[in-house]
Amino acid sequence: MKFEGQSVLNRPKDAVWDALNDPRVIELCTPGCQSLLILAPDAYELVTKIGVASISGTYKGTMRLGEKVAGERYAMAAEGAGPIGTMSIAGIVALAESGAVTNVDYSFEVTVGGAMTGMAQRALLPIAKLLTKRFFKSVDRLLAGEAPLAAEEAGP
Amino acid sequence: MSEAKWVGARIERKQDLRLVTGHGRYTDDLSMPGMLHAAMLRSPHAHARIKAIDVSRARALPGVHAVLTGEDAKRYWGPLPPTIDIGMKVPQVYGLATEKVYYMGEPVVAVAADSRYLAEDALEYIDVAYEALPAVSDTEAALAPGAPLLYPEWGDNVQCDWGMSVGPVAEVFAQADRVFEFRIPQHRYSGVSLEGRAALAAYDPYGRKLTLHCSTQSPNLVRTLVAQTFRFPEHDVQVIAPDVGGGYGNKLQADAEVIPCLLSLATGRPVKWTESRQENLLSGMQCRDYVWYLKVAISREGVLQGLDAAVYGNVGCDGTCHAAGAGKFLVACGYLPGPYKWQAFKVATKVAVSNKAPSGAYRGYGKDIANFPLEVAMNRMADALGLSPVEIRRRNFVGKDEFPYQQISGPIYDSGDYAQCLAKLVELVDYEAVRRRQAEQNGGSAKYLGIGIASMLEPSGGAVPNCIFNSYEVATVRLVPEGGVLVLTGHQDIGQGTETTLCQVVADELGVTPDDVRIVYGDTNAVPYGMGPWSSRGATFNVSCVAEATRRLKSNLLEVVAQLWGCEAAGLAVVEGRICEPGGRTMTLRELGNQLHLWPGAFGIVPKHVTNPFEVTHYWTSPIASWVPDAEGRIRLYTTHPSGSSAVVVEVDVETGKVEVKDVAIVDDCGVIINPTIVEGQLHGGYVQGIGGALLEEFHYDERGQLWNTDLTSYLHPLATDVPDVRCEHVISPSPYTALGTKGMGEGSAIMPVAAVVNAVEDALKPFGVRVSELPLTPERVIRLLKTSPRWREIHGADA
Amino acid sequence: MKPKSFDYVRVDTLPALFATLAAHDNAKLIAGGQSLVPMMNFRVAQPELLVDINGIEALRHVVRDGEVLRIGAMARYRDLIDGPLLRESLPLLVDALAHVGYPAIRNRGTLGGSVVHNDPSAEAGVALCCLGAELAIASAEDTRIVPIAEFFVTTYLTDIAPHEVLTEIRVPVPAPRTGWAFREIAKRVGDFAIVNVAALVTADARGETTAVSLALGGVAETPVRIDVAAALLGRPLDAARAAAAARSVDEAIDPQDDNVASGEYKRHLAGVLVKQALLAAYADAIAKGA
Repeated sequence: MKFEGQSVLNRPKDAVWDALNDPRVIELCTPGCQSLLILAPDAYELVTKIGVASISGTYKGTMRLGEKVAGERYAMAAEGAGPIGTMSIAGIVALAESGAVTNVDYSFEVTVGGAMTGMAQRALLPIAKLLTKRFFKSVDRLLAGEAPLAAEEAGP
Repeated sequence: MSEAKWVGARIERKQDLRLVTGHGRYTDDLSMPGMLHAAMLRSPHAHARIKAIDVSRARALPGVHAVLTGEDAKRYWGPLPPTIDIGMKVPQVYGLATEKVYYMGEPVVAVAADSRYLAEDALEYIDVAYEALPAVSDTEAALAPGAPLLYPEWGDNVQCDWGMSVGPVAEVFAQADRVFEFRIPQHRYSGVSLEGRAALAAYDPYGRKLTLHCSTQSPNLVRTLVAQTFRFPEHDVQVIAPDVGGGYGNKLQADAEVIPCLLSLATGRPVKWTESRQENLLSGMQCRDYVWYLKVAISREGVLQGLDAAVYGNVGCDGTCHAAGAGKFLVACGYLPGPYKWQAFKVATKVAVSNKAPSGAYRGYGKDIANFPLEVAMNRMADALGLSPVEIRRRNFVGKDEFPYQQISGPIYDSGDYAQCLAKLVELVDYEAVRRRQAEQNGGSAKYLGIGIASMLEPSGGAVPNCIFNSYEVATVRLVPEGGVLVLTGHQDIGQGTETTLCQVVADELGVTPDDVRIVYGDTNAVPYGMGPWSSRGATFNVSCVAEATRRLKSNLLEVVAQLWGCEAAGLAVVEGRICEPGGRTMTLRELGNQLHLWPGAFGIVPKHVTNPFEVTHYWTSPIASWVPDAEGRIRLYTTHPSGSSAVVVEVDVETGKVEVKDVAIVDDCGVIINPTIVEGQLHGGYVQGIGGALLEEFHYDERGQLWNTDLTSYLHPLATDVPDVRCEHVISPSPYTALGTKGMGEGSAIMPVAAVVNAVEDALKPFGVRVSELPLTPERVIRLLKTSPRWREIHGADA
Repeated sequence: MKPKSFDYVRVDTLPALFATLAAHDNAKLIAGGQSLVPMMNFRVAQPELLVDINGIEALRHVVRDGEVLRIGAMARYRDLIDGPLLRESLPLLVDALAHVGYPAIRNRGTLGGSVVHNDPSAEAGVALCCLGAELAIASAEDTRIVPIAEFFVTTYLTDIAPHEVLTEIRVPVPAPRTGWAFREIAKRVGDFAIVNVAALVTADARGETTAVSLALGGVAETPVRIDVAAALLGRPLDAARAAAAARSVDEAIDPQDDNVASGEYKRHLAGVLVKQALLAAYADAIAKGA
């Protein structure tokens, strides 16, 4: 399963690039993030508590950034496991400056596994899309000096 | 036998009132003091190396008493012993995964806790590091060079490789009028019984005894397998099967059942595990899953001549130790010729392992695999030759005067009248009327009517060497002092009605009523070592065994009475529980039981030549099976051969792809019928399962070996609203090889419908020239098939 | 298959409900429980507190208020199907609800529960979208009214905050001379639809289509209402018009593959069912005008 999307961040490209490479930003902006452990440069272990609609539970996984072209793009690969099963997301995040704002384009391939595969698949892709949007929204708010989205600020 | 008064009667099943009013006692209903509950952590991967397992957090949870990995478990058990090994590769696998996991859902860690809730909580605290390995799930992909290997030491994924050739195959094909070739695959589905697996193991560390209550078809076989797994003295293991909520062949091994035993041995406390539906779909025994390549030589008149075939089977991670699935492909090879006559026959099989759940038996055990391709091929050939599907069968059946008939592949068919079954079916389904309706209806709207015929041969009562599906049955028939009769049997009632039919048999043989008889089964410490119900062997082995034992007991009892009365035993009869002298004295069985056991007792009244007047234990084995290869290298495993034909009428909506089953008719010949209601129940239930396999049921694995449907909203069975009433009639050709002329009949109705439905759909869609190439026939698949038809695209494809 | 441990509280009034929600994080309302309980047993849903609202009488009403049906969120399918009010004024909704699951599910399941859960092929959502329903979403402070199409965010997600509750579904009664049709293909009777379609068509005395509403389930992450007016209005609705409408539906949707069916097949079914539903609804409208 594939999904792609675009988020507009109201900051210059370099600031967005720095933020997207900053483990502290990742920790603050990943929806439901409980902890982030730095395994190596650009390699993190995350525990997140997902609570979207009826789907809830704690998921643990790793996230790696690579193939970096500074200020332009990187590859992101994440793997996690939780009550629904296993999920891996891999893809590209690319930045493009457009006037005063930066367009972040992303395109991910999602693979799910485990006993809940059938039930999960229907819900996971929409949720993955939603959480990705929330992540970038939080980054944008953080860069503007505001607090990232709180868990209860649901909605699209 | 006295006159047949009860055999043939439609008496109610003994357990039905109890079961339908909710008073059954299944394994999960049982509880023991100090009992713990088990849960299993299962692999999310289809194929992976286990790099590390950390159970420390789970072990630390309050209420958790044991957390065992596959390595931990090696202190208690050895590899799972083979259930079948006739020239197969037997892998070394355990009840819990050790170095690798071979399928998604394989148990990796076992937990025992104070409640099932806590046990499942603990699973979330276990960390397993897997290294995912390339997986293979498709049969032909598993057999292809370069496929990921499950057991690298084998060098390939072939668990079993076998073939035979009889008659002048090359000549027959060279001279044939027509040669047809087919590729016919069938998907993976299985019996999914109302009650999944369940086991309550109680190890008594002081008495050094292991007691296992479990939902199984064969307590005796489970006892042996458990003893072998744990190297535990078999005589210290007691296996008890309480009410069993369905089996269908799925419950014929000790697979996950060994895990509660392990946990009980480790904790010294009783441990219960009741399989969830998800676990059942992930790892309960699965079945079907194969592809045939068929070459048929046939005359232009439609007379079959030669058959050259190969079947590639898929037994998932294993078809020998987890369960005996590999053997079904050998049965399929032996019975591919079906109820028809041939001049030359060649068959081969390769059975592949793959990263799917293990494969066992399910209502057919190869008879289904033999039936499906040929019955589909018969219809397609009839179509090509301009014959009706009825006529092509009629021209090729073994004739009713040709029995006993040795089939070209080796088996001896005991009796039958295949042509009469088909003739009755044509009447029952009103074949000509369906054809008329079809001519009027098809083309007028989106709904196309079709009829499919399939015939079948159902070898029953198999006797396989080097296999748990072995060759004999033992029963004890006992007169108790108060005159009642106990039958002790290793057979098991799993819903098929044995508890009732055996009473009918004993009632007639002894001259009592079914209420005077109780069948004792399901407890290895109470019954002789019999083998249980599989291969539809009940009415072949078990009925014969019980009937013979009852005859011997009756003869002994009459000897006693003859001496008491000073008359000839030959003149005595037992009528409704009374021993009668023609026109003279009578004595009830209660009076006789009292005299024999107590007043005055055996010493006073038993003639010296009568060795045991209280009970008779009889060993029955097949008079016809043979494990000694004949000149052609053929052996004979089955004793009786029921047969029959069935028809399915469907309506296919060519716009939505929905297939609706409008009518089902079966004519079945299982020899002498003990209880027509029970026989018809088997026919109904089996047929509905077959329709499920044809239209709905499918274990949907992707190429990575991930199973996509692990609940009953996505693994779909037919519901009452999806099937019409199943109409049936009978032909009776008694078997000469069983005590009463009966034949086992639990599987035939489940193996016909897949071919019948495929034939019906192809018949309905004849205007579009569609050939079914994948199953089940979901609406989506039907539309996909139709889209290959130029004619359909012309009518419906424009804006679709 | 046991849920993770959770607390349970039953509330009998809306104020008590709001107070409970204000005091707890990760609480979940339970109405009929027909979707939630399986998800809890699978541990996909792990609420820490279940708030049982079955005792709140104020959520059970079904009343006609002028040209609007006001349906309490806790009204059960069974009562809605059997009750005279809906049969008379919203037969489309009744027929759609009769397609929900099996009798046991319809006996327990609630209209509000289905709407808030938002399974994309649930019959209730598709029918209510077609009917242009509005939802009353209440919190301790106030009540906001949301058109149902805006309420559905994505699969299993709706525009409702943790402290809010859906109290009422408001359904306009269709205009006179409005015909209706509901069409659904599921693998078996009672299963979630692969695709379902609800249609309302209004025709004038000359047989010309004056209004149309069309909604589909199973083809997107939420039920979708698709505007096919351009293809249909001002003319009698015949097979060619229905086909034209189906083509515009085909352009508007992008169904994805899932465990139930491929996107390609859903697209095919959408075409077939849209045509069937529009023609049937039009025939019904004409019959009503006769």
